[in-house]
Amino acid sequence: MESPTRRLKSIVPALVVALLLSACAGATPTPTGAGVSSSPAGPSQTLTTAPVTLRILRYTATKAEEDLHASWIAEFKKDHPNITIEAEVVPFGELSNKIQASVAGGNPPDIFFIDGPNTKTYAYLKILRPLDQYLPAGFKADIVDATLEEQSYQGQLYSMPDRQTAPALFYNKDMLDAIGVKPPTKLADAWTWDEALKVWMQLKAKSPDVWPLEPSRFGAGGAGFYYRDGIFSRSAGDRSAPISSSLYKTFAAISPDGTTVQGYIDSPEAITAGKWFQDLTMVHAVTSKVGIPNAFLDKKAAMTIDHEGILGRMNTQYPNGGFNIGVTPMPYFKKPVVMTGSNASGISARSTHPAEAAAYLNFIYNDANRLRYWDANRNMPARKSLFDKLPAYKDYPLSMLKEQLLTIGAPRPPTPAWAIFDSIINAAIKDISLGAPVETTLHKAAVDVDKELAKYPK
Amino acid sequence: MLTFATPFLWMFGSAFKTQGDIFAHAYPLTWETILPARPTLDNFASVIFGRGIGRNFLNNLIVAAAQVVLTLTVCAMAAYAFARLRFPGRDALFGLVLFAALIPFEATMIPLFQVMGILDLRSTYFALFLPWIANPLGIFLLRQAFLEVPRDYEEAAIIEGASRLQIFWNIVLPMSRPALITLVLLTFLWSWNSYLWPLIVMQDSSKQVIQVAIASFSAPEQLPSWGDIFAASALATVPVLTIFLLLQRYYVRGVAMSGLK
Amino acid sequence: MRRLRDGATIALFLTPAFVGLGLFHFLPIFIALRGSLFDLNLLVPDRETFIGVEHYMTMLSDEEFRRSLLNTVVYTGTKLVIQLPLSFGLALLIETRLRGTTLLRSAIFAPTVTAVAIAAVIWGLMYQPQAGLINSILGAVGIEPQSFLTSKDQALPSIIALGIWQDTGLTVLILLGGLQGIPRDFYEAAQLDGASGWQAVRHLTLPLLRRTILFTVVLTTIFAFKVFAEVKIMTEGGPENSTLMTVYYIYKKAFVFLDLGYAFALAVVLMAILIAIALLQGRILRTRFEY
Repeated sequence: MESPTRRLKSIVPALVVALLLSACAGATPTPTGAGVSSSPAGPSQTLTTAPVTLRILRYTATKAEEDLHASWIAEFKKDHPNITIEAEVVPFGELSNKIQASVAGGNPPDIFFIDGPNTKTYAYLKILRPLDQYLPAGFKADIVDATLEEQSYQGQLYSMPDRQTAPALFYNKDMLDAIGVKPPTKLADAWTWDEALKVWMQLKAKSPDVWPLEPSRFGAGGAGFYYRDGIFSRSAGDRSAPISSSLYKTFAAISPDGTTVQGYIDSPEAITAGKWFQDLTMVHAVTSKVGIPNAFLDKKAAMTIDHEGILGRMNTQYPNGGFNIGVTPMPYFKKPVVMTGSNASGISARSTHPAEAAAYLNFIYNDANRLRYWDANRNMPARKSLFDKLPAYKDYPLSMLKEQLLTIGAPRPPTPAWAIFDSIINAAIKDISLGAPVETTLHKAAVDVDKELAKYPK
Repeated sequence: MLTFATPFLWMFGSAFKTQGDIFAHAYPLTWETILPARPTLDNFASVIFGRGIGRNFLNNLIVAAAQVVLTLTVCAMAAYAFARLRFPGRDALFGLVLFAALIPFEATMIPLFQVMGILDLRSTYFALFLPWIANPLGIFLLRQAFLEVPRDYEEAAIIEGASRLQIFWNIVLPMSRPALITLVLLTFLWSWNSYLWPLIVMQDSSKQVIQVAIASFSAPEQLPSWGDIFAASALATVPVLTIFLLLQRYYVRGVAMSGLK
Repeated sequence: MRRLRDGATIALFLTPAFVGLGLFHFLPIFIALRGSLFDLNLLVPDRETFIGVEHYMTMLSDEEFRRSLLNTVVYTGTKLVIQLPLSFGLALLIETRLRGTTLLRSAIFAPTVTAVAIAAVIWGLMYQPQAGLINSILGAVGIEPQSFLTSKDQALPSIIALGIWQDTGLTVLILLGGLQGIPRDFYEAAQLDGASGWQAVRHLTLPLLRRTILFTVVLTTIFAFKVFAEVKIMTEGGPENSTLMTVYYIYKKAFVFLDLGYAFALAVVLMAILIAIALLQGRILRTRFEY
């Protein structure tokens, strides 16, 4: 019996993707669908001429993206009159449950959209089909490195990357002007976390009613979302250190063979970073212990760790936002790092029409359609060549965000048990921010994750 | 009383605020926390015309109506059998009914989804109400009520030669009106606010219910459209609250409507 | 002859309910019971390995499961002890039909008809540790700001408060329905005997309401035991597992850890515990009211 007290609902959307099209923000003219024809499916794929129905499962998107999805279906239909596409649309936060139910219930859709880091899980469990044989020449080599790593399994691409994000430290320029601070604009000059903390303390002294740093707006709000909060710990490591060193392990967060996280997420460096992170809430009180909706945009916080999506949100939902926004590279302890992330879509291993599904994906991921997609949400593209076609990325601030993605971007720890890792580490991060003992909490999390990793033998 | 009403009023007040105003005055506490300083109907226009939740409302009404009528019928019949008829194994069977009420839905959701697949109901309205009409708690509630009906009336009617069905219809049901209304209200509430099950089982977006539609107001990585969410939620509570307050007038004190003429 | 007719009536009256229960309740339970003996991954439905009672053995040393049970029992117990007397009092008050009770009634039902997700958002704001509404009020009467959901000691009581706020309307409604079922002449007789209001409640209302009260107690227990949404939205079981509830734990095992077999086994044990509690409640309440 499902009662009112039994419902679950995550209003707060979970993961990392997109941004709103500001319909009037001077979008560059888009190529219209009329002249766009679908690219041929990869080599040796002949499409059937018999009537075929493809089922797609995707998440609710912004109005601009919804319109785009509708026109894609119509345009594809023009070229392939025998292929009918039926889309089922669900709230983003429920995408994973819906996929699970359809798989467990034995009727998964042909194409489903997923959260990028889950690609390896679905590949490992043979729910997604490898895509290499369907890809146009050069497509794979063009994908941003971090993205390619995140969405491949055993050398094959398993999902098509929608876009890419990489967070930075955004700030309210007016508030920083008031204390006379000009944050750096170049990656090479990025603050260390301690330098950032000094500024936060100044901000707090200046106006005690404003949070220097917005609590995380990701996940359920407040600490406990690895995409954002894991940056602290991973930046205490160094990806160029020797593989056996604690510094490298702190950056990597999981062993190269994917069997253990002990000594990785609870390394001495990670523990030190964890204590520093805990002090933000428990000692300095420069950020709130719990989420506050819209704190940064409502001018209740001076800075926020977010990705470029915030620029679009400010334009569309706060047209009279009334403050100047600036962005500085992500601070770090030892070596800068930002976590990347994106949505993606793949083809069900059980689909009886993989070639036709691939033809549709190749169509919506071709250059012209990706540029239309960029117009609809302004998130970074996931393919290097597309950056060259977008003049907006030539200048600060977007150039800096692009540089972060391409040079210091790292996918979340690659493992088929990603969602489990995420769930355990998030709870640990949240507990730490609320005062739990750092070392024992991280160590217990590592032991718990290892127990689960053992269930995913290579 | 304020304790109960404040959060609710906050939701209603926020439905009339612009996105920027909703959390801007959340604290410190002023009158603007609750009441919109610049009331606007934009949110309502947006959810009704822009997002078309009228369609979802209609779906909810269809499902709730079917669920209420069928739940009442099925539960009342079973409850009467358990309260008044004698047959071997009655108490054991009733125990089995109660046992069904103890299932945590989250645990049997996947098996139930598989069952709906076998029955091929996964894109129909039936999927939304059929599993819940044999409601163990409903049977329990009505059985308790039927046991309260004084036996003298029934015995008199039996002597008069009335059949079981006549007794059930003319004596037991009218005398249990408060419990029946309670069950109508509970069923309507559960049906109206259901979320997880419709989300999982319904594969046809045009038949989706209101709570799932509200959850869809959040696209990834943009701020949730709080204004729309509160406006739609406020609208969604109106029918339930109205029915709650209206139907209770029909609670009639133990009127003895007897079949004794 | 009558017996034969009764037989047909019984079949007619019970069949619809048992078809529904069989298909949509018992069949899923059976699938879950069977599944609890297998190693099952949620996403690999066609591969199952029989492992007997291994899941149940694992449970014995599962600290998180123990913690979740303890939390659930505390949650349920506290909720019963506070919510039921409160609802009973409110129901009697509304029953007096004095002026203002309609308003009171609306106020009490309003939370019940509000979607839990919305309620969680609003309460989350009210519970803000630094500047939330509740701390503003506490500050006005000179009490230190409390940390509520961010403290491992206060998170569970905070969740309980939200639960009571949401569900009181439901129990008041059921008790009202029961009160309406009491024939008026009983009270008139009591008044003639010169019984005071309190005596009438104790010796008349309570015994006459015993079946409704039993229903309310069982219903509240079952719902409280299956508490889920608030925990998922507000605390995700934290801080430090202080609000980890069993059904949320089952959900996590099935849908995050994909360990469907273990989730089934947990659900089976939860059901067994609920059966024991329901039986106990039935027994206690029956003897209380010399039933």
